[in-house]
Amino acid sequence: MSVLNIANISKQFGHITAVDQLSLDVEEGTILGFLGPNGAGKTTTIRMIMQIIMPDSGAISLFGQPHHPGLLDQVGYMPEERGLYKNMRVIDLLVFFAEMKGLGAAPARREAVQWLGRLELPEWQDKKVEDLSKGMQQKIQFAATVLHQPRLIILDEPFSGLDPVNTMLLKDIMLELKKKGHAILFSTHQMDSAEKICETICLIDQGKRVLYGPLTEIKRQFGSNRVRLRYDGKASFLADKAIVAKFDDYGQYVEITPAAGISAQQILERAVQQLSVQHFEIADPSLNEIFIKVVANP
Amino acid sequence: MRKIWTLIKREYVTRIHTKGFLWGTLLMPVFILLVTFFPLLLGEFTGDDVKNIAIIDRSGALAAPLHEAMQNDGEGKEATRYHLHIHTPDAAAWTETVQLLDNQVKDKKLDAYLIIPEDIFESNQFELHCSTVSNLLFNRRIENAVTQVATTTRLQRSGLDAELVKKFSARINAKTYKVGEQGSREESGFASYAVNYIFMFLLYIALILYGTFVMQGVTEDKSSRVMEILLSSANARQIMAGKILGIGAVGLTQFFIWMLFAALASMYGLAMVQAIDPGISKIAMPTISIWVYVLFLVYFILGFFLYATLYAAVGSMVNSDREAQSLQWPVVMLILFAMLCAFPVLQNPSGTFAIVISLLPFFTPILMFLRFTANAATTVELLASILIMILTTWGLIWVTAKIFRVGILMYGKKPTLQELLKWMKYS
Repeated sequence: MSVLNIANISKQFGHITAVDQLSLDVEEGTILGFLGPNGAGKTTTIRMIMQIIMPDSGAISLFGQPHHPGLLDQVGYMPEERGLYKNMRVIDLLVFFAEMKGLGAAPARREAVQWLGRLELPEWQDKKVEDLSKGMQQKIQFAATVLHQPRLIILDEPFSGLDPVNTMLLKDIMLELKKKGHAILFSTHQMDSAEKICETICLIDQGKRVLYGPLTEIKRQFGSNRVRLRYDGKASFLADKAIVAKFDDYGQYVEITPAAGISAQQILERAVQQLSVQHFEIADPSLNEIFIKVVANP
Repeated sequence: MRKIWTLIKREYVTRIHTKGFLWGTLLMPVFILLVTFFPLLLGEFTGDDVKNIAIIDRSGALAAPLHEAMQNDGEGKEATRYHLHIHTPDAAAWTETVQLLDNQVKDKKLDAYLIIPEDIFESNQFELHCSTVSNLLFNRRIENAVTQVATTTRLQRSGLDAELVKKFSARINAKTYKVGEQGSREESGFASYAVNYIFMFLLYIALILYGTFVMQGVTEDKSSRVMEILLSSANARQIMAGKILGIGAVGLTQFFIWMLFAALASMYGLAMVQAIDPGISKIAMPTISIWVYVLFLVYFILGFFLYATLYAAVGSMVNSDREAQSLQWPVVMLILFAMLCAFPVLQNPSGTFAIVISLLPFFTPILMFLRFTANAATTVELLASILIMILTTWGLIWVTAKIFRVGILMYGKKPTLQELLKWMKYS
């Protein structure tokens, strides 16, 4: 079921078009990687989803219903710029944020205690937020986002500033939430983490959607039948322009871009004739490469 | 509504628990007591302060009566306050005497010396030498005494009987009565004035203080980026309402505590002071009508809302308290202007100027309240001022909420006036 549906939304600030005819869809129990360079319009889009600002045109629907303020209680939002009341006790702050989402004080407290345990911070419950380290505050912010069990969770750079252990912890929780049926919109610059946990991605640049779909499909689309080869012997065929358009020797292996009309299969055949092949693979482009390719040279 | 309530609750609880609240609540009554009783205490202390004054009388006619006048001023207080030493140097010893007196003033053995010239009745001038010439009250007292004595002497010289002159030139004192709801009652003019002034001052402090709290609260939420989280759960209007109502509730709490102090002080204050110094019983303590408290509360609440909306808008436009300093000036000026108008208004509290300016909503809390305590505001004026304030605040919320909505999401430089107008169009 579609939890979030964005249809052709646009937003202008003066002469600048921040978001241009953007459409996307987040399903129940999925994680959508919302990617894009700085200033691409990610935050503006998220703010429109949160009804903090209104789109100039287009429509946003949540849980199959047209946008209205009552629906926001079922959304959890962790902005990129963290915001916590530093002079409040951790537990009071969590209860406050949950109450703002319509939870009663007692269940809010119960959930807060449970989440503090899950995030390995139970002993910090009665401490003031300002006494916590930055990473701990980050985890508190995450707890505040998911405490009220929102059907849609929007995370803007949730891992920034976290050490690898805590990154793993949060990533596991995200996957857990996904399995429970929560939909997650995961906005990030970190392509490797997006690659690991997202089945679908949406890449935007200058307010426009430039890539959208299941990650595997996008990778196939960008898989320019490059070949990685590790071998013993002298590979004289690499100089044959009729077969090899370009190659990069990385020491451990050679990355080959076949000439036009030559398949990876044909490269392998030539290699096997000359060399003892140890390893052969059709190189899948990393999300990082795709990102750079799409954003740097459109 | 429930969200506004949650916001109010957080604002109230976190603020009540701060040390600042505790100290502010406790220190304010102490401060007020000091302001109220300081003049009294001052009077007590200066009573022991005897002034030594020397007189060189070249006219030969004034020294003795001056001595008599300053010793017997009717109330019998002056006798203990001034010690007069009369010098009558001849021409040869003149310079020497002045030198001596100068040295005595320098050594603080003498507070001042007077030189009364021979031609005082023509020149209308005498010399007053003292270490500080800026004590205007003291100068005026000496002047008055000399004038009085000179007048008496002049009259006597013109042939009037000394007793008659004394009778004619007797000082006439005013006994002050305040006309309130229960008719006229005797009351010290100064004490009643002091009470009015204290209440007005309290209003002034409260409006600025709590307004600033609202502004800082908004700026804090903005710079700590909590605002964005709040906005994901509530709209800008709810956030603004929660902030203003929460801080307003803190203000009211503090006020009820202060009012309790004030009520206790007005009930038992006199007894307490008398216990310390029985001689003080002569002062007629001003009685504070219940309506003063009621209107004080009404004008505090209305004034707070009016100014808090402005302060909230200012807070939303800036990113730090320092930036807020410059932008809040127009708002502070409004309150300050009301204070500046207090004296002209008090001089003629029923005049057209006073009526008109006290009906302007930004000045109403302070000036209409002041006119009420001076018994110059009619019921119609009071009700009209309250209505005008409510309508103005209502309209103002509509405008400031727009600025607030855009402002809380804007980071970076302070907006210009043009940008502000654009913000209002955006939302």
